[in-house]
Amino acid sequence: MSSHVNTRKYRLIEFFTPYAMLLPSALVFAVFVIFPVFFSLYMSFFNWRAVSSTREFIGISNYAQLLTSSEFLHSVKVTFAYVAGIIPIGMGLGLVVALLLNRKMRGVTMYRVLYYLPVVTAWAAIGVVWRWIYQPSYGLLNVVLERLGLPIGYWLSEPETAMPSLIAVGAWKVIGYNAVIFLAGLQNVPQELYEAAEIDGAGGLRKFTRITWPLLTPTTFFLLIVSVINSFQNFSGVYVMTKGGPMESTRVIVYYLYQQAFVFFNMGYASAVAWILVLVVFVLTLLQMKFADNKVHYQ
Amino acid sequence: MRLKSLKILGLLLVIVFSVSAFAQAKVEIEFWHRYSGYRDELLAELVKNFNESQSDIVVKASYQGNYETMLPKVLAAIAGGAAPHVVVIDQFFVGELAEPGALVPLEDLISDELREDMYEPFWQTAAYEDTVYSLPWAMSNVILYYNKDIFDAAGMEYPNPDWTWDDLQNAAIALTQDTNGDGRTDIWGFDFPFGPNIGGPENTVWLLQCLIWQAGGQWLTDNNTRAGFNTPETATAVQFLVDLIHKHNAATAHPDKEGEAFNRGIVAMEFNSSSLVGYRDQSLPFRVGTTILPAGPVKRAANVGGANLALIDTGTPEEQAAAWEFVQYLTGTHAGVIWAKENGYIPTRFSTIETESYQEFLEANPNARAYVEQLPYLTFRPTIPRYSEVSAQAYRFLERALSGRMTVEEALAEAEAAVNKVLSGQ
Repeated sequence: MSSHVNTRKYRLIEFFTPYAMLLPSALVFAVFVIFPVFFSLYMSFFNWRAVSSTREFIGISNYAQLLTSSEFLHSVKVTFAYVAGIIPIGMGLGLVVALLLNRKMRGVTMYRVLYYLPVVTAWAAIGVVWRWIYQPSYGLLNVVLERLGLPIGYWLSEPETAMPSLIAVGAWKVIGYNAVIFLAGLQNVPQELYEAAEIDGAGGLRKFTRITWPLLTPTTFFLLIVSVINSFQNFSGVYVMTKGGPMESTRVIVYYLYQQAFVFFNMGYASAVAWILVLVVFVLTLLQMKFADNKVHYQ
Repeated sequence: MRLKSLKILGLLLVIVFSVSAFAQAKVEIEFWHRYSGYRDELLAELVKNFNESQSDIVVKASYQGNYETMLPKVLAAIAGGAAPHVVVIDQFFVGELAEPGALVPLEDLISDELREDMYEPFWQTAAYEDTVYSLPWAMSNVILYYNKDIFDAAGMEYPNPDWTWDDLQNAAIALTQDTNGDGRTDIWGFDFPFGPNIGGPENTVWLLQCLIWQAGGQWLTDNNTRAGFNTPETATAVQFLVDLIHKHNAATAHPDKEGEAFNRGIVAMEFNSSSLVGYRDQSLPFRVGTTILPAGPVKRAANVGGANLALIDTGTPEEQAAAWEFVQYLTGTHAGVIWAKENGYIPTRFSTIETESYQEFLEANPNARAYVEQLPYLTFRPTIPRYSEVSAQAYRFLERALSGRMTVEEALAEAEAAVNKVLSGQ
């Protein structure tokens, strides 16, 4: 056997090694993410009940059915309500927190950790605890309100208050994330600009509206897109806290999809719902990018 | 070199042969169930007994979540070709699994002796289109639970088997109290589950059906192809509950999870599954009583609940035969008695009920008698493939009626339309 290094062979190995390193996770990704995504598109054109061996090709019937389904349209309305609630509150409060933390003070890291903790806590855990907090007869919220002599509420148990209660939890969970990103954006604003403004006699509000806010627009734009995409997909909170109720007042699109797919086994129909959701979020993102074109300042 | 490799080869051959012999001796089957906590341990014991009592079959049991999470798992496993051999399923899933051919029909395996050993209506819960697909096993039915301490404190007589709806209503009204004068009810006379805290729509529907049947109404009609509940009889049943909640304020309009408020000791009476008797007798801090459901305007009726054992059409013929062996053991007089005594599911076989051991148990546990007394009045849910969806659609409107947001008549009409849509294949 020869023992000298075969340079051509060596170069081949060098070329293929990185791909070989990527192969295991790429394979997993392909099998568990790429394939199901396209398979669900395929399924959406069939009348497909979970275990049935007979699948009927029905073209776009599933899509037609869901676009005229009052239940699906209701879930779209509910989802929009959730998004419309959580974006301003989550981002607004996130910005406030970021502004407050944007200075050299003791313990700023600790605050950042505290605000970020809900972000990394599992929805299941958060849902279970908040469900207890919101419980009308013995939950923490009502007990405290009563002690303070304030009126109690039914929170998750009445359709009028269920969605606002969910929005409150969702916003609480996301404020830390928004704050951390805003903080990074804030710290990119050059100090000289503020100093120049002070010399010209600008007060706090002026500084904010003329310097901070315009220079934050890329960050704001990024967070807006990410928040919309994420909040449209909200599911776990609903699943643990209200199961879409009471009376479907919190039945967001993804919960409706879950019911159709995993409780009723209408796989084809549920796949169609999933793809409509993709379409909706895609269109919203495009709209945002169009809108932001003349509003976002990168300099 | 030669000799060494020969020895290695020889050793390998020996290992291969002994392993294969070992593998041939034992058939392994998988058993999925939905029992947690003490029931999980009990089941593990029974499985261990079975495994140790013979040397041909080894059963591996595993807990797969509650009734709602179990079915998707089973379906996913079947679709993925990794299904268990034996599975515990709720009766209304029999249709969903039998229709696409996932279950082994048991007609030929059931001997005449076995057939006669079970109460005939139980076989109905196990069949789809007149073929039996599962073995009734952990059956329960709906009984009336009451908190003896609350009744005693009010000086009232306990519910008894002669009760009617009027008796229930009067007692519920009388027992609802504000004990500390803060303007909020502290003790409810009755509790009926609905709303966002319940485990699933069926928890409401199966109890409501008892009242519907007691009022002379029905659930589905025309051989289970249409909704049959949009009738004055059903309206009577639903209105009875709506009045109890909103007119007499004897039951809360914001119920917690089914059974929870009763367990906390703040509810005087509730309908619930007889399978809770074991737990409630042993673990609650107050005295519990049970009796059969009160009679409705037309008759007595109580829904059957609980689970059956089904064989999934998977694996080799030996594995399927082994699965049948195991299933017979679980429903047999030995395991059946233990299962029944330890956790309040009723034995489904007459031969088990009649054993001395079980009769002694009934003597010592009066709360378990309600189930047996109710046997002549049992009612069954239809085993159609889309039962869950029908239930969920009906529940949407029943929830509104029970919350006082829709009149009963309107709710039943809307529910009928929604259910008929599902049944007609949409």
